[in-house]
Amino acid sequence: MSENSDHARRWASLITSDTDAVLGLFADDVLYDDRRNVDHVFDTATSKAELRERLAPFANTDPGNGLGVHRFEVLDVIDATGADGSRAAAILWTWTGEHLESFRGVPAGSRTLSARGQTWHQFDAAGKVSRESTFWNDVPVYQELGLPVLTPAYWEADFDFSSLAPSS
Amino acid sequence: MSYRFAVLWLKAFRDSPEKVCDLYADDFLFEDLMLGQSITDKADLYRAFAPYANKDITNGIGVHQFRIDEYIGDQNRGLIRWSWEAHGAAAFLGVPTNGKVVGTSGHTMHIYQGGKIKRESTYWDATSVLHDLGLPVSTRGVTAPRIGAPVGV
Repeated sequence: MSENSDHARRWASLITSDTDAVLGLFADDVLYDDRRNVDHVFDTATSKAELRERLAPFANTDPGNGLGVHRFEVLDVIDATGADGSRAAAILWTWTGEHLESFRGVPAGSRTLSARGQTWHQFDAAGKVSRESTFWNDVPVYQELGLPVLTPAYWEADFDFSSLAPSS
Repeated sequence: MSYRFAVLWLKAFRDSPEKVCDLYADDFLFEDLMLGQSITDKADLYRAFAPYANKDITNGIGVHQFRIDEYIGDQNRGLIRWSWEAHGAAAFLGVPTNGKVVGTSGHTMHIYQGGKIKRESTYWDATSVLHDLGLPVSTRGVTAPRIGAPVGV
């Protein structure tokens, strides 16, 4: 197993089992983005304390508190290159959540939910993650939860564009 | 490849799907799973990029403005962090915009071979757009409280 694949599997395991240990994978001067940056004060974590707030819910083990019980599975690891030629990796993953009261504010009922996402890690000279950029594909989850969100396959040769017309 | 290549890539979106397709290797994998796209065929790729070259702000397709926020990588592989706005788009993922300009950010992983894009994997923040359009979704994380729930519950 490559160094990056080994890292990805360790990260995916620790994030849902041991918050202290997963924080140990990160550098103290971390820069962490997992959403659109509208205001860095709220949207970019720049310390271990801020990062802990983001990651700790994923290690919840109580199925009764509404935070959910989470699992990440690594699908693929792409060797990448960070700033100034440093080591980096893109991790493609699937998340599964059970016992969630809500997913991004949307009532989840008792459904088991699943989403894919992509996380990019850049490592410092000590092998710690100095930077993370993550985005989730929330759309299938919203569809599962009944929100009126569509993903029309408009690029397929036989796609019927009239299907996009607003219903009367 | 480079920040410059990333800018050329996005400028090609606006120019024509032919120009975008020229930037991809003959044997390629393009994935934007947010849009359900896993494409290995140039004809499909052409149709996937066609809306981004729309120049008519009145036809509902939208005029799509992209900018490169950052390129991190080298000649062989890189992460592109970008921002996007659609002006005049009638809908976003089927949700009516009611005339609002919609926009978000995302990142794209590229692997290059012979000066062309060999593999692309893109993810972006759909939730912030849906939130801006009034859907009851939170931009504060997966385990954010139910919208409208009392604080502390």
